Amino acid sequence: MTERVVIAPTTRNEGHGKFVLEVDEEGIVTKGHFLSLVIVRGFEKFLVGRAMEFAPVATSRFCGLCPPTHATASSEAVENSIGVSPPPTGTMLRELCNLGNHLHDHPLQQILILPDFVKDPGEQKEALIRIQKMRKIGQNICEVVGGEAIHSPYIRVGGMARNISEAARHKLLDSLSAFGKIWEEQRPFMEKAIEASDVPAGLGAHDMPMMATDLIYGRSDVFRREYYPCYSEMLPVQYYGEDIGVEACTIIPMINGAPVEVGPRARLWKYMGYRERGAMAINFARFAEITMRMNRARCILESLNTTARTINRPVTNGSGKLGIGVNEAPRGTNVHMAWVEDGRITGYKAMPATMWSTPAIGRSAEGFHHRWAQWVMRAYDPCISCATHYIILREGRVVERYSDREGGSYGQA
Amino acid sequence: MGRPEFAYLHLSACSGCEISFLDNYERLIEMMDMVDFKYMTILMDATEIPEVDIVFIDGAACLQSKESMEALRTARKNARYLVAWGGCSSTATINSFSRGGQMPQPQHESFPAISKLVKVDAFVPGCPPGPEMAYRIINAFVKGDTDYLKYLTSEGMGGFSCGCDLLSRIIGNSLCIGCGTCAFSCPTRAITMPLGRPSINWDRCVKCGACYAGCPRSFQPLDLMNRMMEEL
Amino acid sequence: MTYENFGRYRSLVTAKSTELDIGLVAQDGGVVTGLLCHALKTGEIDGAVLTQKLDSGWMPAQYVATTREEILGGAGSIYALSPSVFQLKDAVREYALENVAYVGLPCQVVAVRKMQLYPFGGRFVGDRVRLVIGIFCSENFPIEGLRNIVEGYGNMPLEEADRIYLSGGKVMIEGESTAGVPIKKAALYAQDGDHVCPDLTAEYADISVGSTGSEPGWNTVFVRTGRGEKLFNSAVAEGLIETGDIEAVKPGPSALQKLAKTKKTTAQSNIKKRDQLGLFVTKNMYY
Repeated sequence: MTERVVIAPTTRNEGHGKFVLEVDEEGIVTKGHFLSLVIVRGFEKFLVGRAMEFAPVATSRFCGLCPPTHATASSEAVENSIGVSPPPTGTMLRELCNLGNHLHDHPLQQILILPDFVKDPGEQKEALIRIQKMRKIGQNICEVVGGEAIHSPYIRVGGMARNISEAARHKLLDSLSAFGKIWEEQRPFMEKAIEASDVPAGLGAHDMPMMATDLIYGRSDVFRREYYPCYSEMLPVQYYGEDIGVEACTIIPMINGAPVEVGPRARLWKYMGYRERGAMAINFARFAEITMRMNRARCILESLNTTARTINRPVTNGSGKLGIGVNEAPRGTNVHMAWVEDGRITGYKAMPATMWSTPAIGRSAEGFHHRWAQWVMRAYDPCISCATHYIILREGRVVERYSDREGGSYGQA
Repeated sequence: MGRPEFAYLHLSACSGCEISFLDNYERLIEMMDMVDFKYMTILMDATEIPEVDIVFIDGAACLQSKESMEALRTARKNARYLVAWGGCSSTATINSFSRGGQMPQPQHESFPAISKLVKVDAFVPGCPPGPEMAYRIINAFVKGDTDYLKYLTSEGMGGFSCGCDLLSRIIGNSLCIGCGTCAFSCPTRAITMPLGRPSINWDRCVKCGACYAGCPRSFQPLDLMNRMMEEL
Repeated sequence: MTYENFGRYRSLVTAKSTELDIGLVAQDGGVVTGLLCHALKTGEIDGAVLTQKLDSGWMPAQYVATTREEILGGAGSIYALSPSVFQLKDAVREYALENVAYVGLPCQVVAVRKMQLYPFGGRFVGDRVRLVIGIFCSENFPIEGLRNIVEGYGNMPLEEADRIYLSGGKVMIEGESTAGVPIKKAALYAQDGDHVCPDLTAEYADISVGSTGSEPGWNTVFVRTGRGEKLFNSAVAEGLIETGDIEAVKPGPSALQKLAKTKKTTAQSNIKKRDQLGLFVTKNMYY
């Protein structure tokens, strides 16, 4: 006989999530549903009719943990629609701004999971200080390169609004060294704490496929070629069933008719042959990603030309073509789509990382006691405010099928 | 007597204000010592909003969501002092643009500044406001520094805002002196200062209210400035 | 002797820079430029937000200076609106400066102090502003107001004016020829927001600098805060700034005090007029 366990709101994650878990007599989850309760602010609807310049400004405000991924994917979607791309230094600075953000956002997840793995208050406090010190460095990089740490105004259609000074370049390089020293201590500390915990082996392991477009930055051409032709979606009332789905605030995006996992493990699986499975494997993958991003930021800073041009002005204002911008956000593949005509947005759609992960999180909780469900969720580090963005309205009409031949079609599993 | 009790309620918003709060970095530990954190779902496992002395609310309630309206009302009822932390709660900011129509909840439409529904004791506009503001407000509350707090309900603070406020309330009242602080305060760089006056790019303005709040002519914290001069 | 109407200050002196290259570009005593160069050299600051002429047309441009040359480029007064608080953002963002000096008019000094207390839009800027230097101001002009004064009343194209300064109740303009426009006439073109401003000597700066009260080629200097005092004294100790007893010079502090008091009483009466019209006026303005 099955019982239903509801966990709402979930805690120690961004935004408001809910678990609806069907469990057997021992409390083992037989069917796991995870959904977003974050109210739909309706960005894509209010972007229609606005100047294309507003798209990265507004979509940055999908999320305050990872604003650069949205401003970047948005800028690239618009650029893709109107046919402009940034000069090389602009792309480097854009990636650097994102990396600065990742170097705050990935460590942030450790603050959220700390109480699960570290029980001694003294050790918790020391770890918190180390994490905050790293986050300060990451946010500072984002702030210098992007103009502000939270909602970077220098991420623009056509590139980056400003270059940094030579003195700033050197300062940021020094700060990365400092970051490295702290991470040298914090990474083994976290890995040991997780290994020493009583998390059951295999927690969160699943057979769902994974999606990633790049090891670090994100590539829209990979998305267009490998995933978009097999893309479909379902409304929550269809996916979860009416009584659960009625309050869900995200639609269910799918590849080949099934949910996919995105994020650190997916990226390392696809591009580095990482084969560990389960929720803890995602945590370990995320630690590896911090190291990789720190090194990549160093690489960029060392070769950055601080006098080069960083932005290209558009030469056309768009003729309504679909543009896709894809960025590998900390939590996974983030897809923005824009249709731009005469400099104005005529359609917009976004499938952020956590929108992809949301159905995967529910499924990953299956097979273990429900008390572990939030441990699984926190491994995905869901950012639920991001997830709640989707529209299938364009110019007031429900679009059932893309006219773009490279696209897939809606509404079919 | 124990420490004042603190809660942080996150409503509809991007969480940038939560991150700004956390971006007090090591000082966060000091803040957790100054007040007793009872509820903050991003950091702690408490799920019910308790009775507290001071609550920070970020984001706005959605008029079409019973649960969020309830949460806002409960927070107001349970707290002695309510701080509208950040743009979305103080001035609606990006939520001003929401119009509904989006799957899967197309009826979600209206996210007004929370002062439309509950009494606010302090407004902190900005998208997001500087992290230092959170530290200063908590510090002022604990020390009973009403001088610092009182300016956060100055005339024109909170409620629907826009770059237009500079035109209607500052330039239109012959108060503008071309200092450039509004442009400085703008998080999206929507304001430039050609010929010494703000020019607002309405394609970038997110209606956060930081420009008006930062303007030296909206309010002038004289007693605090005097205090500052003693300390420098 | 301590004077009223000047705000809080620790000392009041007449002073000038002893450095030759500064003397060549200075408006009066070159004290602002001298202090900034000294602070940069000792590492007290890593940059400054300043104003300079964009071109011969006297249009002010705001910039971030990080070298001695760049600081010298900002010497000299420009009687037109320069919204340089805006550039304080650039200084701490893409320039990544951590100890910035800001030079501005009394209203801008107040704006920076307010921002340091209430960083609504200036995350982590306040603590990076190391030094605030204020410049005396009776009123300021939009660029077309300055043009009216120089071209309309002074009969000289604005682009030909090399030096503009105040002396003997007149706006003096030096180019190929010299012209003097009575301040009373020039004042018509000042921005109206100045008429409710009570602050002549930048009462909230670390150090305030101007010319009224001192002899030509010298500055009147108020040292107001501990931080300002430390910097000023160290510059004097290095022999970079020469000081004198301001009581011993003509016209002396009483001339300045008269101007400062007039600005306050005028502001007070203008505020009253606006109140009576039912207009919103900033509270706590009279100080």
